[in-house]
Amino acid sequence: MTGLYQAQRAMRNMRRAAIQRGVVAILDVGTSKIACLVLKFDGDVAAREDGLGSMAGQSQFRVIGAATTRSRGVRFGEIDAIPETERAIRTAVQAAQKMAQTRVDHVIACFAGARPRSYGLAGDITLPAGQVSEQDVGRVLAACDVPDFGESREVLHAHPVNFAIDHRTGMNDPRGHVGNRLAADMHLVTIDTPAVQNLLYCIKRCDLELAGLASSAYVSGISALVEDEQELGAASIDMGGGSTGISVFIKKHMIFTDAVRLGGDHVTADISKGFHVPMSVAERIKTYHGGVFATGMDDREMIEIGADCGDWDKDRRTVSRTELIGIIRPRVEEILEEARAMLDAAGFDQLPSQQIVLTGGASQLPGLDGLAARILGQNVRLGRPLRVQGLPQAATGPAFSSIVGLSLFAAHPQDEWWDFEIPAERYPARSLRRAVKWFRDNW
Amino acid sequence: MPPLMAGERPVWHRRAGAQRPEPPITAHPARREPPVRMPVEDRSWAPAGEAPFAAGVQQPLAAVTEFGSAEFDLFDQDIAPRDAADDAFDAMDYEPDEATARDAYRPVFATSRRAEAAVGKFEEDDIAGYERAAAAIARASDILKRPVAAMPSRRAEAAPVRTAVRRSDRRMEQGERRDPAPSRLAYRMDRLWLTPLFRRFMRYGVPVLTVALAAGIYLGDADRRAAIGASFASLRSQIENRPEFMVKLMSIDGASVPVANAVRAMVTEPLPTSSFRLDLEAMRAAIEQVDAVESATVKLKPGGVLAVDIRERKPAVLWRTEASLEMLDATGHRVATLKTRGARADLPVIAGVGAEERVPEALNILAAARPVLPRVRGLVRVGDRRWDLVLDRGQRLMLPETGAVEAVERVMALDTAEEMLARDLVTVDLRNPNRPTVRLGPQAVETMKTMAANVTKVAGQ
Repeated sequence: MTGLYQAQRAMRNMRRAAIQRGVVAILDVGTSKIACLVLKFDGDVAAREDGLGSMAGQSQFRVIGAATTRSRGVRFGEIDAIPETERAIRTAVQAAQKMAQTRVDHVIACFAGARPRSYGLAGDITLPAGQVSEQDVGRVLAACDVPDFGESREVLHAHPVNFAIDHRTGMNDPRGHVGNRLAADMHLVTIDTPAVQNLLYCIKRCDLELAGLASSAYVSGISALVEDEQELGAASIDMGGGSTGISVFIKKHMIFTDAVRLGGDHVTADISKGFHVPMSVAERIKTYHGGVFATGMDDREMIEIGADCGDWDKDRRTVSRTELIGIIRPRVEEILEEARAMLDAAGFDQLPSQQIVLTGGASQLPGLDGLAARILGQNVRLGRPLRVQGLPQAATGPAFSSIVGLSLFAAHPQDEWWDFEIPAERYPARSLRRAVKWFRDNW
Repeated sequence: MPPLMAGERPVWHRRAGAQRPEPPITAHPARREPPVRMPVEDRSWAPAGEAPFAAGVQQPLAAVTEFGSAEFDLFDQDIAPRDAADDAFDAMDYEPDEATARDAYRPVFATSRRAEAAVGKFEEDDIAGYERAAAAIARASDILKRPVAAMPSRRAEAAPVRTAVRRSDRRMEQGERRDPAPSRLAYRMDRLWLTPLFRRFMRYGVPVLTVALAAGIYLGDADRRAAIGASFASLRSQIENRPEFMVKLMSIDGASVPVANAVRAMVTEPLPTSSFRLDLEAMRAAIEQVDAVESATVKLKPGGVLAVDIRERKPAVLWRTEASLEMLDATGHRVATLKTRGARADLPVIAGVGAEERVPEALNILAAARPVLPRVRGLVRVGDRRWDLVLDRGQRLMLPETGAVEAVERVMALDTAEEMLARDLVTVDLRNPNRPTVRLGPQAVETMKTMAANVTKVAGQ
């Protein structure tokens, strides 16, 4: 746990250094596309007359470079073929750098897969002095009993969600309060270690330094949910190419995340199999003619699915849109059912507001909100990412909600466990002994 | 490639230990990528034992990705191995007559040359190069498909095109898309270029350094430096000696003849000369060194005239020293030496130590003494302190250190009223303004004594 703590702290320092330098790259390693933004941090938000910058002064950054490239070598949101992914990352980073006309050395990345798993942790300490200090917060977070999440799992996020002092609970910031017992709830997200290692390796091969890592479901929730949804309770369903991430927010904290290992690419694969067409053609058919509700009109709307094999009969095939929808819909239903099951397991129905926001590239399927409303409940809307300064028009669609959210995350990361000082008694004694030895040897 | 003996199998792989590849696995037609519309190499002549690379059949992914695997050599084989059929063909006794052969080969060679020229230009990542090459190959193979009269052999049909097909084309033929990713080297170079310091260095530092280096190398040789200096000097003298810049005459205005001669002698530069060689300011300063010259202006006038305008000093007094008689102007500056006093009888004379430094004061005194000016012999500076005004008949007015002019005016008033100076006085001592004293001449003394005796007598009576 200490190693991870150090690694995350190092990444935090790297992020601070990058922001001080002014330029940082944001990388979304997705199954269908790899997107890269180059952010420029300049504190000139107060320059406007009304004193408000873009996003009411919350963002002090500007997007100066953006690029996307078709992702190769990523499956289910995890890196599958490392050299291919590395080349795709290189392509995206180079194009974004070219647009930004500057070189970036630090990158903050997010990815959807690697089987995220949520844990709710609780811990409490007795307060030595009356008032809660920052060290006490660190101590109570360190006192949370960490579950055994098994071999080769890595902690990605550890958000302190709730603090309680004696019988008062629901605190965001306990510092300065007076009491006897301080308790904390922490939300821990773990992912598979190999996935992180692969990503690290790819980024290292691109001569970049990782300045932060986030779960794609979490960051797309940040950008797709509006503030009161985050406050009152909402779920963001980020339907990506190979993976559908679910994150549940309440009181501006993520309290649950999970991922369905199904996404838009599976719909495309179904079409490809069903119509015996190449994946690229299937993708085009899905994009242009896809839908989830068939009407009588759709029986007459014939779609040329043409091929290029030289066989006239095969190349001149047509299908009706109803047939297409008949292929798409079961898969979409399956994804939504899975999401529903996960939300049920997370106790989403207990939340005061049960808003569900669909975002991600696969959420652009026409009629998806209606279908989702049947499966997930009535409070469903389609979400697009927040507008950030300088974002190109082409990158404002729902497919970019996670990268925009990651930009916001880069600018204003929520407090995590490693943002608090590790309590002194948790330092291993050996390092202290080593310091003493070094002192004795050298002086 | 060494010629093979009849019946010998060619070496298939260059690398040791590599196996002869299996025929590629043809994917299910339904899963096939869209076939690429690109003419493929005609391998129909290839020996039956080999699996032809059919058009549009996708190779297994491992075979086309570039991991430096052994399989890749499969696509590197541009030349098909010889086999028994080829040997049999070579052994065939067929000699087309020359004209037929030429006619048959001409289009093939022409197109293949074009194709090779186009292909020769392309690079790995150059898509335009691909297209050029593909177009050229398409043209070549279109012509090859045409029935040609008396086509001598299928070898002539295929061979030139085959040599034009390269590895990258093969990859394209097999339906693989070009990889848009930059190579690692290209990526690093790109990042290096985007580094601000490096960019600034390449944009400004390198050109400046290059130019400086080149100039340094060029000027490092002393002979070359000298040659450059010489050519520069000759160019300069050429320009200087142009008639437009020549000064031919010198005109001197406002100077008397001896002064003009002196000034003329001072211009050492022989005329005509270039105006670049004349330093007018130095010349003016030199001319003003002449005592008789008060100020001078030196100008170049159009027509190559050096115009010297001189204002001479006006002599105001003569200064008698033990050695000579000098003329001084009103400020006390020397004008010239005079041989005889009679040459300038109109000027008053001053004498004594430090007299030449008090010329304005002397002139004031002389101006005050205007009523007796015809009688004035001169002014004598006494002890570098005060003046004596010397009149004829040995009369001497001893003036005070301060207020000499007022003293003279008092004497002049007395003289006007009482004709004092016409009397037998030797000295009028005005050094103490409160006690002017008069020293009488001997006769006057006698007269005084007589008068005094008479007065005594009268008084004594």
